[in-house]
Amino acid sequence: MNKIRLYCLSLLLGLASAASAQGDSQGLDEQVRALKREVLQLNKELFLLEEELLYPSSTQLAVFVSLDVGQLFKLDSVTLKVDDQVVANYLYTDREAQALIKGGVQRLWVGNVKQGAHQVVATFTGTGPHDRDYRRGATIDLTKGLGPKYLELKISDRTQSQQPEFTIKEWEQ
Amino acid sequence: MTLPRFRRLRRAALLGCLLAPLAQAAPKPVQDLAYGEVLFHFYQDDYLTALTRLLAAQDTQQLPHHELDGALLSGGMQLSYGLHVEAEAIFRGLLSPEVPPRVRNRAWYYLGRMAYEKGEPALAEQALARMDGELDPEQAGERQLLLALSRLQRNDPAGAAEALRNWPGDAANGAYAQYNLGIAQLRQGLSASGEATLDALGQRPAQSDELWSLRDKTNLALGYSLLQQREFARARRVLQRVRQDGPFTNRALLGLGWLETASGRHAQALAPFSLLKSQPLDDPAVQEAFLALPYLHARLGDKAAAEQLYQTAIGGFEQELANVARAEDSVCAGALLSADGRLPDAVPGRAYLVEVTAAHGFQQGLKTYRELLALRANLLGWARSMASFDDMLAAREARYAQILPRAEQLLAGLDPEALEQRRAQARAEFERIAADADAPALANAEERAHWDELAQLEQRLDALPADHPQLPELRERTARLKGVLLWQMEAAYPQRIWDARKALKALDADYETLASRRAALVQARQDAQRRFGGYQARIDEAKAQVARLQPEVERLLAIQAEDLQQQALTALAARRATLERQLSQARFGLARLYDEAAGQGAQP
Repeated sequence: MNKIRLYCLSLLLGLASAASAQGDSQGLDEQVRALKREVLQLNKELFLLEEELLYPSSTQLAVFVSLDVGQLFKLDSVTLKVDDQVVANYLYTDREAQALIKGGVQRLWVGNVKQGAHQVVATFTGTGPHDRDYRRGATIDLTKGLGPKYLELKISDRTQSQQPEFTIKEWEQ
Repeated sequence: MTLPRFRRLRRAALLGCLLAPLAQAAPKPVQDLAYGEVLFHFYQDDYLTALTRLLAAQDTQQLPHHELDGALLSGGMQLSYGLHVEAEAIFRGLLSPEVPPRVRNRAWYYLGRMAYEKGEPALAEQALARMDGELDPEQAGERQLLLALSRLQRNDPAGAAEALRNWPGDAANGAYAQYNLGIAQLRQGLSASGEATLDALGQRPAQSDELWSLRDKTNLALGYSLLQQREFARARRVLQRVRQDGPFTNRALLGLGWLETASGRHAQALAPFSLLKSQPLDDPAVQEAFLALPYLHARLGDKAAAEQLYQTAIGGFEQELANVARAEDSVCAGALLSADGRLPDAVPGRAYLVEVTAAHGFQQGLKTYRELLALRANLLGWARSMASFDDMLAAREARYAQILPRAEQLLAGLDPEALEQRRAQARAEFERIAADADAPALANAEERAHWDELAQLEQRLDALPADHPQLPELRERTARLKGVLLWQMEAAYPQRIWDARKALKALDADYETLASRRAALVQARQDAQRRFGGYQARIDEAKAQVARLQPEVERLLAIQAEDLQQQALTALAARRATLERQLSQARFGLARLYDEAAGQGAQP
């Protein structure tokens, strides 16, 4: 019974220490933290550098995907064409689709286009109302100016018609 | 069961909701694409990418609508990532009165939580007291839970119980609140109240695995507590509530076996111990049962069964000692931390390693180890792509050198001032014509030719002698022709002035296009000069940093791996010592049986 008694005491009252070795590892923890800090800053710097190098603002065109509500359409994939060329073909994992439903916005594609007129066509496939296969497209004609151009492919629920809606919104920067 | 698991249970009420409320509090849909992109990675638990994008977006002012949400999220993620100093600085920056209460309260909450985790409960309470205004149930619950834990930390169980008594939070956290209330009451010495609280929680309907687990843990803890107080009937009732197919089943069965044994009901104790005996022997509860069963059979007078069970136990313990040795060998061979930081399926002695790796301290160390692996992969990825940065820059420079002369030529051929001057002149002339209603100024070519001929005719008539006999008639005919022509031009004037205005507008548009293209060209030239000037230096600096940090990651990984290995070996040594003791007990029990049999046989 003594064993049981000790067991109960530690279980209920939390008297034993779980952190006996913590003092020894504090130095290591601080070194790991310092490393994380540096890597994080380096990541930010390299991310910005990569953006600037690969996609200068004068030619940058970025296309995002967002999902509002998402009850009438389960997204499986998106195909993106810029000036009749397929530039992205993306299949979504459940995790990614959930992240979109929660309010995340995916940067689907970023590339370079010349200033002037362009056409962007997005084709969405997935499951629509009544579990039916669904395939819809959305098109936009745009003019690329000096600054970066952002497009948002928006999938939203049209409650009146009980159908999903696919639109493309142009963002000016 | 050991204390660390219990501590984790108490923390789970807080840590479980560390980051989720931050994003839930964010308005939807997002108003800044960059913030939405951060959330996309955040919701997939990819905090390194999410933080990187967030810091980059903050640096480039891409969060005009989500500046505060971004700061809060950054603080929360940095806290979760172990960067406490940075997180605290961010939260402290969100405490001013002009910050909306929703954000300010969340910042105070996190500051309180950080103080609690640093073991400064008084500071934690001060921070929580600064949360003001109407809190939603979730926030109110989090505050009260943290308040109670802080009070428990500074040994004020009465205060903790007070904080939890009228639960303002949501139902999910309510179960944790009830658990902590029971603990607080027990620590106050209010055994009856504490047991009643835990007893109620132990019967509370559970809607999720998490709540089922909490319910089982509560019943197990309460059952053992009642057993300690020799409240056997109540302990039996409570322990029987533990699910029969959960992670706590074996410990509940063990408790039931001990309970019956302690109450002198040896025959009834056989059932739970026999159930345990059919389970894998690596479980400590099963090992206890292997020893208890022969002891009980001996007490009940079935010496033959007792002898057989002791022999089974001896064989089993020897086998388990061999398994522990295999697990130790696996640890020494480095199998504990495979390439991705997860325990391989086929590793020898895996059952013991699973138990070792489930301990709280080990899990914390493993989390750090995995974070270091992620940093290693991240740096390796950058190291590989840095070469393409150089290529990209070289390609851009080459292309730039190729098109620069043409661009310079084009720019030189465009004189924006002269063009602007000509456009201004055209506009001024138009304004004058419009103001004077100068119809002849808008004459077509034929009308202009006629108009000029008539002007020349008038000059010629002026040159004739004043007494020329045909002069009056000629003047009259000229005037009549001029009148007809003027009438025609004035009749056409409204249309012509409209056309002229339209043409002027078109000219403006063309001019703007030209100016824009010229600006683009100038901009491109400036951009290129700026890029090429600074990029190489930034690339070189980043390369040096990556090269410096890679060995640092390797060094820390080696230290962390060594630490984890030591933890595992220490835990395995403890298991080996227990098994060796149990083996001795089994051998001793068997020897005693033989002695007793020999003693009986020797009697006349």
